[in-house]
Amino acid sequence: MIAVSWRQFRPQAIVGLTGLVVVAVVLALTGPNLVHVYDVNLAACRASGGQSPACNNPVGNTFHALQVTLIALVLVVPALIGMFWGAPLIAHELETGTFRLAWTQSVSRRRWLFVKTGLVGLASALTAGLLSLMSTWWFSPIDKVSQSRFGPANFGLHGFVPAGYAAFAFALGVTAGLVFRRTLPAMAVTLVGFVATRLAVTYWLRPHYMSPATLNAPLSGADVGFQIAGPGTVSPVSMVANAPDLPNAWVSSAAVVDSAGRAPSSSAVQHACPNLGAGVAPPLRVREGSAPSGGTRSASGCRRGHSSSSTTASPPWPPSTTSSWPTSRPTGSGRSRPLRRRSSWFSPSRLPVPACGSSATG
Amino acid sequence: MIWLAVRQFRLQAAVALVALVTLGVLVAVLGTQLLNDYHATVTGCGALADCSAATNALGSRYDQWNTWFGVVVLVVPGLLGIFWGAPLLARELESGTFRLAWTQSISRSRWTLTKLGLLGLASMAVAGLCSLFVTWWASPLDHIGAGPFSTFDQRGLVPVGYALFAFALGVAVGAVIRRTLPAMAATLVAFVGVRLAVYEWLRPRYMAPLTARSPYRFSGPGLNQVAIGQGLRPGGWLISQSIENPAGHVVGQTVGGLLATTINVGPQGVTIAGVGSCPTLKPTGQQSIAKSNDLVQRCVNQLHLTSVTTYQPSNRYWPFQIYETLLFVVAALAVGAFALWWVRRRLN
Repeated sequence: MIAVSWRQFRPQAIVGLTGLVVVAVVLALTGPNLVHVYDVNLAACRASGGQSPACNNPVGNTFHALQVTLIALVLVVPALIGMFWGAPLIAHELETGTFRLAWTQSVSRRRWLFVKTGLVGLASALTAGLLSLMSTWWFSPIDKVSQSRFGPANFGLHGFVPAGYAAFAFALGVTAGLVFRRTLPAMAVTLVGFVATRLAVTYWLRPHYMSPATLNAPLSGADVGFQIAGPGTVSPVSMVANAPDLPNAWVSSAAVVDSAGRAPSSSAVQHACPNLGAGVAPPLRVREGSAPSGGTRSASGCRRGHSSSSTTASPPWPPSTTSSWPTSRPTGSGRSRPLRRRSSWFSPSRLPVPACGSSATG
Repeated sequence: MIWLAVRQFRLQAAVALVALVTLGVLVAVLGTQLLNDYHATVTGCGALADCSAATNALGSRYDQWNTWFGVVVLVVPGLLGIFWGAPLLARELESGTFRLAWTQSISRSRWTLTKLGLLGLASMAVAGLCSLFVTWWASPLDHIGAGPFSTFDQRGLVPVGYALFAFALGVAVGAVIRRTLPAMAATLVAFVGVRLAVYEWLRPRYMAPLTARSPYRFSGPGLNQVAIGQGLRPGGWLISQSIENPAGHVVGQTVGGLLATTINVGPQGVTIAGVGSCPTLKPTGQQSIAKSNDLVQRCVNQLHLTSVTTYQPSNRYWPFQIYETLLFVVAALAVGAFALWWVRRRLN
């Protein structure tokens, strides 16, 4: 039975093996070159005391086309395995009637199914897993630079998850083939079902594997910043926290909150920063095109807090340094709340805590 | 004959129609939302200090959708080639149903031509509508994005050409291989190969790139990176970058697109390995990084190093779209003609 399954699977196995060997040769030829570029630029960076432009991106755009190809390959190989190995496995026998011959031998249906799915399923997981491991090795200098393990081009394409994807795609293909009993529709259904499952897991399930850790950092210091969104006459002003720079972490949300943990209302922001409202000439006018690329913006143009006779509980503005805005400042009936930035993120390991008095919890 | 071809094509057409309607509804709902957000944030941002905050926020909010819609336009031509093109003849040849068709009053040529024409037109329509939907949806994002060439093969006309070519390729491969599954796999590999080859080697050469020369601005120790896009106009497509000496030779060792070399600042002056030296520029007093940078920049000026950038300007976007579409349509016609010839002469 194993021999028969192997004979039937041989063309597909040869195609898969050839693909793996081609990828292995290409990666083995280019990988050391990539490491070399990384080392050369890192040396230039160190020699300059961290001032060289090589420090920003020691791998540059090296093998850009190959990077894109490799990412696309690891992304689609599980789906292809499901379509071309899984879906036809049973459907083709049912469609052409060859299952009759198999079932009339001394082999039980159960054994026939087990051996076929076991052999090809194992090959599926192995193929995707080997491809992913090779790709992970090749990308290691780039991953050292990008520091985003959880990134969209990283998490699902490195390590051993692609082996799991391939095993699932294969099983889905076999099942679709059994249900539809025709190869082409089974292949199409496998593709749609696999893509839908992958998307659902990526966007709905993966963020909930563990509850995210929370980092509270005072809205001060070089590392903490925010942007103003929804400005102008059309929609109310709101503050958008910039995601903090946590290496290899997956930042799921970042928000500006006061000490009570609430987001400052748009009227509070407008009250504290009247210059951001409509029709007022802004203090810092940056022309489009020459504008710096986002990042931390200064809060100049905002009032240093509100009138102490105010009875509304609006948050003070801006607590740029703790010394200039002590939290114990009496403000009548309104409580003074230093603004903080709250970030939630995922990380399997403990993160380096930023130096500016922030704390990690969770 | 057209009636028969339509009947055989019914299921695939229904699947495509459902997918197109789904995409259309999604695009209409999300597109209105995107347009509202665009008008609420980016349109009015000129009155405020900083437009980059608004454009960044909008870009990151719709980043995932932008990526996935782009992927849809990228893969649809390939899927049409696999699921419509490859089985068209291969399935009939594999299951033997072509015998019935050929023993009717219909010639082989007419049989093949009707199938090719009907499904070829349908392929173009499906890919064209996908591209139209996504091009419309992404227009606010493209307006604030990284230039039209960054999404060249996900917008406009080209997906129509890709789809026709993928379909014709699938038909021809199916006629030659005569078995559905291997034909589908071979179609996929060949189509991806052709697309990559055109993207890498042909597209940058449709028109000779423009060259921008400017005195090299030294951006930090190491001389290992040209300031990216020095002299490049916004929206342009960067083809190549290099540093040249006055004799017109590219200087420095090129490692993976970066110019890497060693720079020495010392009692002998400034030495840039492989480029030249400025013995008169000796550091005085206390050394600092800013001071050495300044010395290196003066040496670069003395050696008259030029930064040379070649690029395709953004106003060549539509000529490039038309060239690439025509290229794929002509290739599709050639492959289709080959399939027709193969069916008439080589199949028995």
